Amino acid sequence: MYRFAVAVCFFFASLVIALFTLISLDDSFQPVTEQGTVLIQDLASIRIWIVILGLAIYSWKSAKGQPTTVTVAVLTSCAWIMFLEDYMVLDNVLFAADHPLSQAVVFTRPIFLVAVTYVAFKQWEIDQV
Amino acid sequence: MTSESNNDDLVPTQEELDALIGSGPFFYLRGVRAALERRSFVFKWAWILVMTMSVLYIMGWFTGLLKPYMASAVTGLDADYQLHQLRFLLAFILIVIGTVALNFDRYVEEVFTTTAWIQLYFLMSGVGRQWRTMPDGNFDVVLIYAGNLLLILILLVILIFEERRLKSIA
Repeated sequence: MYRFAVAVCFFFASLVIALFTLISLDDSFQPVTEQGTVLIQDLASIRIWIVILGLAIYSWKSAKGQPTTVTVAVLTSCAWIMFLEDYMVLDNVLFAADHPLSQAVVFTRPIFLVAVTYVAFKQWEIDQV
Repeated sequence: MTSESNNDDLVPTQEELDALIGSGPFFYLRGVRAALERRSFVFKWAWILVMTMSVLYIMGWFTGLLKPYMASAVTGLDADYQLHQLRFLLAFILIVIGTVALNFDRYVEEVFTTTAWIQLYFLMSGVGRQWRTMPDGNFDVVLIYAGNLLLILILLVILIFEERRLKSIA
């Protein structure tokens, strides 16, 4: 189950990296609202680096056999905060675009949040042992 | 009669109850003052400064003093204002979690590490947004905004390092 949850997290991260790369490179990508157009460049450019750095640090620590509890806890907190920002405040402006990749991110995001939260708690248990 | 005396035997004594409650780490409330007394002078002052800044921020927010310096004042977008409101709320939830961790003297380093990374995210995205939306000649506003967030981040980093130092000594 733990490995499956980690796989879900990596799959979602790859989708987000692909989407943010598309947003950064393709000017034709248009969110549904005007607010989204203004905000999307600012937040996407920072978030893509958070995802890449988070994956890199987690992979490096896992490969070295170092404890990853705090890393996963930080990434889980950031994931939940970004979710709150996107869905509860920004009224879905960042991702509600009519693009298959964007729809895939929106669809898999709740699954990712459950998976990353499970990984955070499980990792805590593993590192304590 | 016999069953009554059997029931009495099963009732734990006050000493047993105290021992049970005392052995559980989550019931051991030390209080912030006691937790701070165990720590260094630097930790204590960094914590007091974080709390003072939070109080000043609340005062600035509710009196409307901060409004002209926010991104929404420049862009006029509702989303910017809402984003600030949410981050304001999240920051105070994090302060509450930090205070609870200090009260129980558990997971203090982990809680402040998570808070510091979240603060870094707020700093980078907030300053980036201010920078892009800033009108000409308003550089000092960005500087004050960045300085304020950076000071909180530095204080959090001091708290983490001091906590780590305390752990290494203990």
